Amino acid sequence: MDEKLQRREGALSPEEQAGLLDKLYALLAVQARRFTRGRSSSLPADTARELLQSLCFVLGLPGDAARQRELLNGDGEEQFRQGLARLVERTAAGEELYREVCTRLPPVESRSMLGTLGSVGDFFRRYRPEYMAHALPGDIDYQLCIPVPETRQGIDYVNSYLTALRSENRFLSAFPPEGAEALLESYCPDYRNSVVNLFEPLLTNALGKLLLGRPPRELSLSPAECAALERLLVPPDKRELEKILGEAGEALGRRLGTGGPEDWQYWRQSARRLAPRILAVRTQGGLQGIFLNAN
Amino acid sequence: MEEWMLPCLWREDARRLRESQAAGARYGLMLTAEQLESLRRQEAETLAAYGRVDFDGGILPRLIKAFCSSPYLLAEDYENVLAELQEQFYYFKSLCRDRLSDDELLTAMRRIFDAWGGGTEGLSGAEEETLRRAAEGGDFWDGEEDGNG
Repeated sequence: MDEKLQRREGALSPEEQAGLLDKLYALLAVQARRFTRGRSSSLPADTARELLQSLCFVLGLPGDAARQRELLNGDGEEQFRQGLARLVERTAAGEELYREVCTRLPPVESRSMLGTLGSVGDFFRRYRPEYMAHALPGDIDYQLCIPVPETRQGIDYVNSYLTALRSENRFLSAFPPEGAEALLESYCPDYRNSVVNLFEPLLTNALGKLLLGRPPRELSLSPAECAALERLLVPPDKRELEKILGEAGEALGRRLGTGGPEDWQYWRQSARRLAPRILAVRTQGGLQGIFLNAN
Repeated sequence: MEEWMLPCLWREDARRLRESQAAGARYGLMLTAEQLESLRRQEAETLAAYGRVDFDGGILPRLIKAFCSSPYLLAEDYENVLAELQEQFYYFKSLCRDRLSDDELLTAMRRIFDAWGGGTEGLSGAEEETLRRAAEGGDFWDGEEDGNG
């Protein structure tokens, strides 16, 4: 590509790319010396690769062309120090979030959720942002309704996971335990010992109740209510269905009187994700398996 | 490790190699430019073979400095011995899983090399415990300091 065109479009020229790699390598060499405390000039390639990933994460790389030029033209060591300081702040915020999630567990039990929280606790005890900033907790068994994007790394992944889990658990805590347990048992009899997500079945039924104009806390949907939902959910296309479900998901927050805007947004997105499933089962004749009858 | 990193490995070694060459020259040991190039290439191959990356210009300059005063290192097989020592150095780094520092390992290798009267055979069977004891300045090789008994 023409060099002037590359500059106009923001992409780094080959010379700039080479300069950036030189700079990154020099920073990596410094990190390697720190990591070995000057005891070794070489490292296993796997360790070197981990150090490089960590370094890139701290520096916000690959990032966009502007970020890359900032590193190319700036003081790399200083930028690393600043990136590390920001990471330490995010880690402190994550620990606070972790404590909050642990002290406000939902009234329904999940061993995989407890195990995952134990693993996240280990992560905070062992996290070394200066060398392994991108590292993830060992065992994240409990599945969220909306998975954290795999592109998130290190503390950013953990904070995203905990933020989503807090939103899910706030939702779960809005329901009477007996009704929630009954619904979950109809969804997965051994849910306490399984890795199933607890939030989605409750969200789905609460949405159904809300759409029918019934109190969402009742949760269980009778066959007649399922039939009514089938008649109700006949939108022209997926986009329209997502809109209906998303608005209902957000409205649930106000109706239940719990959570905040960040949670409502999460519930909205989770509700929208039901649309493809509803459309798929509709073609097979019903909404059984989506909306549950706990009685 | 990404391919783009490999050329960077040798950035600083020109200056260090000159210094180590000067150290060797005091003992009549000199490498030609071709020999240096060959050793550098072999070191890169050895690093790749043992799955390691060097960040400080390779071990060759320090290897020369550590061994050039040995009375058993002779000019006629200088290059070959350095090539073997270089390969053994990275083998031992991997064997010890980096529990011995570069300096400790060089010290141990030099002691064992001298104890065997030169040649690298004595080193080839060395285990981590032998190296550790040699690095600490203690007896090694089943308690026999000279390695021949």
